[in-house]
Amino acid sequence: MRKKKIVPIIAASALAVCMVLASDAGNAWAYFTTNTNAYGGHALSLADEVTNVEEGFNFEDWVKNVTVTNTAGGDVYVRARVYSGSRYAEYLAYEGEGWGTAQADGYFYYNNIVAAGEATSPLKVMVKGIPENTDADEFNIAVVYETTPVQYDAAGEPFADWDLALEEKGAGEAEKGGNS
Amino acid sequence: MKKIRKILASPIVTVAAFALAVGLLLFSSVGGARAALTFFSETYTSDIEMSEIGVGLVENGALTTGALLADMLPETDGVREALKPGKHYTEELKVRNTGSIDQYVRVNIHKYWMEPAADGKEKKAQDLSPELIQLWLNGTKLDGADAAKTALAGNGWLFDDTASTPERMVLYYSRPIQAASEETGAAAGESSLFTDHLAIDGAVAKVTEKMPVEGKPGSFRITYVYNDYEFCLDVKVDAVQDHNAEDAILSAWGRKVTVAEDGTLSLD
Repeated sequence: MRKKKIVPIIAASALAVCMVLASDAGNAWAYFTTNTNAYGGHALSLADEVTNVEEGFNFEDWVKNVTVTNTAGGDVYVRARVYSGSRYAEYLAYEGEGWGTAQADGYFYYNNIVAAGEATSPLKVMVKGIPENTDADEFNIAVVYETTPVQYDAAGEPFADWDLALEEKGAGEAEKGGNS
Repeated sequence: MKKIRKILASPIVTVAAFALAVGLLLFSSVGGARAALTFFSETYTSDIEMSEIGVGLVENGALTTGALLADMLPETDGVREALKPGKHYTEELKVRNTGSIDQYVRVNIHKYWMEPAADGKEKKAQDLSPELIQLWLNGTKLDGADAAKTALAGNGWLFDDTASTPERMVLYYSRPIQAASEETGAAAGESSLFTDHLAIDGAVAKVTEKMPVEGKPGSFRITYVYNDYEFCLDVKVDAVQDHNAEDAILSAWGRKVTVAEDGTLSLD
């Protein structure tokens, strides 16, 4: 009986000794390690964009003035296109400070960035040499304008991406340009 | 047993035990005397050099202290320039050995978005891809593609495919980084750059909501959905001793590597 009692005591003692030794062994196997970390970030600033077009036609000198205003939000580029009946196209002339000549796609591009609260200079659509018997009610000039948000290249230089397709959240459709 | 009890009970054993106790007492006194003698002996000094491991993250030439990107956007009259999606901002990151032993390092780069909340408490955005936060090296976007791995390898960094995700990039430096040495006068060693520019993809400015403006037919308000979203970059650097590096890296980081005789590390 006494022998049976001694065996568990010896086993427990041996286990305790092993655990003490094992803890020392653990220290012996440790390696030098360390670490450091850093983090940071910045918020996007993509203000709402609201643009508006103002058109006025003066029958005295047959000039239509087109001005696009960026009433709020981020910087935009602007382009405009003029539509008229084909028989009147030869009578149309264009001018405007900052506006380029019509490109192959038919658009006039405003060369400057239009910031919030700013407007383009007027694009003048002038009708010259039209026959006197033309009925003013039949004569129609329509202007379509588009804006696109200013993009930046790798060097931080602004550019216009007219192929940029804005995605309307939830609509599942893409729309070219900003306003039209 | 009776015999043993009889022997223990005898006066001779009692006397012997007493003599042993006295002997032990005397020896303990002698020990004390020896201790007293050492107090008056000469003092010997010796230098014990303690090895120290230390690592630092260097951003645009300066050692970081927990913050990144603090100088990314310049300020004019106290107004910080707005972040320009698409622009490449200088973000040169590398690792410096700030300890006294050579080391191997790995880098965990964590990219994510935080969305603004009405109660002012930000929370992680789930609908904006971390891939829109771009890191570049030598003109190559670090996106896990072969070109990126090649660009990193050119700078001595190994891209760990097994641990990297679109949100997290894990890189190992293939060479040990030397510690500064007073003996040789060598400065603290540094890794090569693992990124040199940071850019936010212009696609963040594509997702909009369009609402007609009241009272202005033909005019619309275009709202950019991700306005005020904040991009975050979290970089963690781990370092481990260069001695017995294979076992040390496996033990500390759980990654099997092979270290060649010349010290070059490769991922298994």
